[in-house]
Amino acid sequence: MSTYECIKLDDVNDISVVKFTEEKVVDPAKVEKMGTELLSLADDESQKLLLNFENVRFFSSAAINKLIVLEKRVREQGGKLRLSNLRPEVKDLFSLTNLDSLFSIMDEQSEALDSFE
Amino acid sequence: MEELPSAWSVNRKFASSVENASAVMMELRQQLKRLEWPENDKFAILISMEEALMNAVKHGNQYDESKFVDLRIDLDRDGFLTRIADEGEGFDPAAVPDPCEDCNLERPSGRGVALIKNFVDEVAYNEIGNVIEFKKKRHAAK
Repeated sequence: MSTYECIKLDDVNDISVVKFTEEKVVDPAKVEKMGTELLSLADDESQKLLLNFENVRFFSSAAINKLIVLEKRVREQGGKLRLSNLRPEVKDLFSLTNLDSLFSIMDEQSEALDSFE
Repeated sequence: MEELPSAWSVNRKFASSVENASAVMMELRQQLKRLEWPENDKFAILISMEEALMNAVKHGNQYDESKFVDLRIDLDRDGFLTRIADEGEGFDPAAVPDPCEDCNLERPSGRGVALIKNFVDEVAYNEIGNVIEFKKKRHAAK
C-alpha cells in the first residue's frame, strides 16, 4: 500500500477521496511532492477522484497548476475529478482566474460523491 | 484616548531562499494579526505576497542565494504597501498570456501574476519587470 506525505487517501464506494495534510500548500518542494502524489492516483483508467479541501486555508498558484495537470491526466484516462469543501477565500483563487469553469467544484463532499453517479 | 497599535515597516535585503521568504511571510502574518486586519484582507495580502516573493526567489533569482531580494513593506491599520525587487532579468507582465482566457486555462504560467492583480488595489512593475509594487487598503468592517 502506498504511503503519502502531502495527502490522505480514503476509498468511498470506489471513489478515491483525497484530503490534504497541510493547511498551507505553498512551499515549492511540498507542492512538487503533492503534485507527484496526486498524479500517481491518476494512473488508473476511469479513476473517480474527489479532492476534499476542508483542511486547506492557503493554496499557491503553483499548487493550482498541479491540479490543472492532474485534471488533464484524469480526463485523458477517462476518469472524473471533483473538488469539494473549499473555503470561500480558497474558492476565490479558482474563480478569480476562471478555473471554476475547468474544475467541477461542489460545496460538500456528499454532493460531490453523488455527482459521480 | 485609545492608543492605536504602531505601524510596521520593513526595509531589508535577504538571500534568495524559500526559507527566508517563508520567514518574511510568518512575520507579515503576525503583524496583520496584531494590527487586526480582517480575514479576507489578510488572505488577499498574504496570497499576493506569497506569489510575489516566490516569483522573486524562484523566477527572478533562480534560487541563487548569492542574489538578493530587496524588500520594503509599510503596514498600518489602514493600508499595506510593498516593493519587491530581485536581481533577475525581469519579464513583461503585459506579454504573459491571460490565464483566465478559455484557451489559456490549462497553461501553467501567469496565474500568480493574475492572482496578485485580482487581490490588491493597485499593482505596478518597473520597466524591465524585476520590481513589483502593490498596495491594498483595509476594507471597512462589515
